[in-house]
Amino acid sequence: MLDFDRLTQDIAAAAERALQEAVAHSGAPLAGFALCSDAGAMEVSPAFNTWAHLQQQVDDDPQDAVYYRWSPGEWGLESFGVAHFRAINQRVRQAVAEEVSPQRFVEFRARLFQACVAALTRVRQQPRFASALRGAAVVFTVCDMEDAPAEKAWIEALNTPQDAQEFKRWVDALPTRGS
Amino acid sequence: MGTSVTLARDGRLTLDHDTDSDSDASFSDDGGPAATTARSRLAPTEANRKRGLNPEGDDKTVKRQRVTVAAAGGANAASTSTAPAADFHWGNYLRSIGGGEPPPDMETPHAHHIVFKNSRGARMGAYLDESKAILERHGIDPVLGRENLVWAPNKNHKTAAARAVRDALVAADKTGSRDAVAAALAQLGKHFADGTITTLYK
Repeated sequence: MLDFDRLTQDIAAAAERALQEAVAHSGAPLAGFALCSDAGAMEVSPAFNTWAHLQQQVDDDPQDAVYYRWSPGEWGLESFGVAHFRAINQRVRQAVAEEVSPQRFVEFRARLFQACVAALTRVRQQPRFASALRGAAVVFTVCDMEDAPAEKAWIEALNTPQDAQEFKRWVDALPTRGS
Repeated sequence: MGTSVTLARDGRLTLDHDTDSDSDASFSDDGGPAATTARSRLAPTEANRKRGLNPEGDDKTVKRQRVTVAAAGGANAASTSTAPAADFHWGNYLRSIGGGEPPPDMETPHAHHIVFKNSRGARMGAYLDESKAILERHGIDPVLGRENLVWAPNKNHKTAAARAVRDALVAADKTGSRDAVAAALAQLGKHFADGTITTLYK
């Protein structure tokens, strides 16, 4: 069975390496730092945003500024540094395919998501990344799943109270859309 | 006697026959184009859903909804649907309708909706509404239709990509042909799968 403590360590290490590369590529500070997964629990990938990219989007569509800030799908550096996650993703997919029964899948997925949030928390708390992430939106997101209560809890765990409040107010004010 | 399609929360789609008189199922299992209209057992109770430990739910409390689902492999299956649970396992669903496995060399694969399911961005939402209307006009289910699902890397869910998809579908729709719309979706799916969708908007 997948060792989730080890997985959390490995995700954090991969996220650190990807973050270092993003800073080297785009400079600090960054506007966004995220890990992304999917409802099938098949993978974890990083995403980053730059202030220049965010500013460009906000200038183009100022009425939806908060959406662009908190939505890694819109960010400038999607999957940047994903190579660091290859071995992790291979293990996760293998575990889903070979070890996780259908009855245990939802539990497995929840633990994978918890591991991602814990890994992001570890990286975020490191003093050496403080300046790179000052003011950044730090996000864990699942591309094909909307679970607003879970998302709000993740954002609260990863960001300042003020930023988490911005996210919460935005999500709570969203109109209910059909899928 | 009809066919009941069960869309479990883990994305597995199972077919079973029942004799319930209010079933309106019809199912072609010859592998050709088919549409299955069936009652689908969708989400378990909200309490179970939040606990996340019982993906199948309790049959006694499971909601029943009318759903039309593309039968396995039915490339031309038309369907309209009520959305599955928010945390539905799309990968298993794509497998169950003939999508196979993701290519082994694909980075971060997931079951990707070519016309995205939804958006929290207003501008993207408007593009999606236009695209979904085109699909529905041609009998293609934007949520469950096989034509709108493809294995692709987990990226490129941008407003600009939604606009590119809308533009391609509008052009295809002008022919008035369902085949043209389906072909446009297939082409867009390839672009998402190999990452070249960015060439349509960058």
